Amino acid sequence: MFQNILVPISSEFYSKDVIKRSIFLAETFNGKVHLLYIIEKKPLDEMERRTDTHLTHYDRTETHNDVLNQQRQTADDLVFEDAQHRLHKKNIDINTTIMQGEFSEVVTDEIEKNQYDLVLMGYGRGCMIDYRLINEIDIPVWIESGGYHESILAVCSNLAPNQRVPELSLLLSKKLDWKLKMIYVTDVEDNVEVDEQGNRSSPKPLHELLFARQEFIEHMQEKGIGVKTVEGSLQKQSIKAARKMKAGLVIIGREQKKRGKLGFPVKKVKQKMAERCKFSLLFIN
Amino acid sequence: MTFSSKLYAPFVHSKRFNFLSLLIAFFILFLFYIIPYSPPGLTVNGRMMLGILIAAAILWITEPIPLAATGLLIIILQPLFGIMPAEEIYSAFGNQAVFFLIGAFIIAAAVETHGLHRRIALKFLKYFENTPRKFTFGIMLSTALLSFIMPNHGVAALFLPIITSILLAMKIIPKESNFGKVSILSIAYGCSIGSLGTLIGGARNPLTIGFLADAGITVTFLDWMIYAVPVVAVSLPIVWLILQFVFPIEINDVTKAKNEIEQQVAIDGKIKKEELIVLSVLIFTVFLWIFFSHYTYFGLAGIALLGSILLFFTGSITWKDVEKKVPWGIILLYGGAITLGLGMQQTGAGSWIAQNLFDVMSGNVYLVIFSLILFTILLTNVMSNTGAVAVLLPIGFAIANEIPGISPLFSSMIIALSGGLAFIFIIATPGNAITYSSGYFSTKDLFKAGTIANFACIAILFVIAIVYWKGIIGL
Repeated sequence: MFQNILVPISSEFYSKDVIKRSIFLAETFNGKVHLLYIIEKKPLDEMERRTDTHLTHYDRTETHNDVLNQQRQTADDLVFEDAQHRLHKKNIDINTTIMQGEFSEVVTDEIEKNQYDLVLMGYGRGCMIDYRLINEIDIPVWIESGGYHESILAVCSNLAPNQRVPELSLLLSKKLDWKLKMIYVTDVEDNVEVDEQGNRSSPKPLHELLFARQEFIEHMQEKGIGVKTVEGSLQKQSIKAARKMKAGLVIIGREQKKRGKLGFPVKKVKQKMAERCKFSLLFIN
Repeated sequence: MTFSSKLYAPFVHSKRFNFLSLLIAFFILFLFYIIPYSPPGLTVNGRMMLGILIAAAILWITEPIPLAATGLLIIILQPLFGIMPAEEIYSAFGNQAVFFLIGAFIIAAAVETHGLHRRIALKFLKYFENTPRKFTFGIMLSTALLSFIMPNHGVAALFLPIITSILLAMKIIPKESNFGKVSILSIAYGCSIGSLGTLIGGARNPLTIGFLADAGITVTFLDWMIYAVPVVAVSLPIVWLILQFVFPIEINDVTKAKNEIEQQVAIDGKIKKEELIVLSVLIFTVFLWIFFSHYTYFGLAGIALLGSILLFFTGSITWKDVEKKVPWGIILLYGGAITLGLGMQQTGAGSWIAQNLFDVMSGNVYLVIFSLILFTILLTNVMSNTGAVAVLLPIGFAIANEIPGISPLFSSMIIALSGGLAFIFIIATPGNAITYSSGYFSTKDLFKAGTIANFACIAILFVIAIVYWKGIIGL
């Protein structure tokens, strides 16, 4: 399932929990871990820009190189060393790389060049990282928050194709031996249905959305999975349900939410959830 | 409640953003040029000058072009719109403060070329290696004191590799460790606070004395220190305490830091002959600045240039070093700033703003002082320190003329010192941007600590201005 795990760590945000989780998953799935340390471009660009009048080109280059050296040393002495330390006496294949650039760009390039099954990363708040890769890449993205609860909340809704989430949640729950709960959110703010290709339908009346929901529930019951139903905003209801059941991991599919309260457009639903959540998230794209 | 990351790091650039800010700035200029109406009390030239002021402020805040280029734009716009003759504008550049800046930069360049600043920094730090708290106070005090004798951005660039190598040796995790946060923020805040202390710390200080000199008010090096050092002495420990309160330090042992400092001291070895010469020239220059910088003796610029020429005589510096180390961009920024002030004063635009402000505040002197501090600190947090001071100095001057009980020196000192207290955003000052690049604190950390520190400094400056400047020394 997750044999090749890419763990991108930005110089802007490092969490030991990500390393811990990557080793746990690699052990569970007998997989390989690739630690990719990214020296973030944006803070360096900002520094150059903000000092261009105050420091000479020579001084700016010197300071730039000082920062690069420090970041490389941070990767070697802190991040990679920590991973090696945790791997002690464990038979896990791990390799490490340091790259320079913009987080989403570097990760996307790396995924294009090599075969990965999962991207496992942390989510830094108040950092200069653009997390647009969460929406752009096709492989699952696991955002680790360091929670200890061994339970999974699978979120299905009228805004997602609901194909891979049930199947993957069930598999993961069995493999990790974690408790599984599933909810179906009927997002009344954005009353459309999303098909298997991820296309949005035209707005539908509530009874049609509820009928589709009923069909889904019956389909899941055939597989032996009980589904709890909720109505409201996808992100709010998911967070509420996860808090209530003390979920360790919330699995969400390729949602296509475009409209929020009063029909205003919404952007970056996944990023906003990651920013607000204290539990881990697995986005299945 | 959660805030978007954008709040903590505003104005992170894209090409579209740059284009948009340039467009807005020029649209404002165009608007002020074509509108046929001027409010009562404001001349046509004054209205046009106000347009230049707003456009310059937008460009200094959003920085679509380098700060120095905006400075040059201000210089050419005034004769272009017929506000002031070109001759008068360019002659404003011949200010004594410009040559003081050049001389001070050359001396700082010699200090940096021979690594004397690094030796001084390590020497200071050695006195504070007993406990983590003392260590962070040591960083703050050392950066502040070093910012007395060289530009504060240079001090930040010097301290960053020293402190990060210590943190790496201690295995301190970036953004996770409060000790890491406090250590690096101490560099940023120490430099900013220290830069208030003397005329060398930041270009806004010579800019202020240049303005005052044009109005016939002489401020010597020692005068400045008498006014400003108490602000540094009070703000420094209070801001340090705020950092301790906001980010309680989680470690107790600094043995590794001690070892790392000793190792770095050992690498530097014994003091070299060239360093001794530079140190002697520096001490001699500072001595002259303190005791003989009044215009009846040598004047500030004369002493700075004498010190730099002595460095050439002794072979301690070459022209190549000057090319490498002297940031000429600041001189151009200074040129723009001083001509902006001149235009604001001569067209009466400064007086017009001051008069309107005065009406709004119903003539309450304390409210005016408080507002000046608050507004300067707000502005300096979103734009270049020198830019903020340049925008507000002419208004401060005009306020002094309108309101009894406030002298031009008093309002200028308030603006100059408040202008250095930029703690909240990365964009506020190069020191914040340099230290942020290390990755040890987040924009949210800077916002949190910086907001509290700025509020504390507003209170400190207000009390010192009323009690010490007005009450004791009669500024």
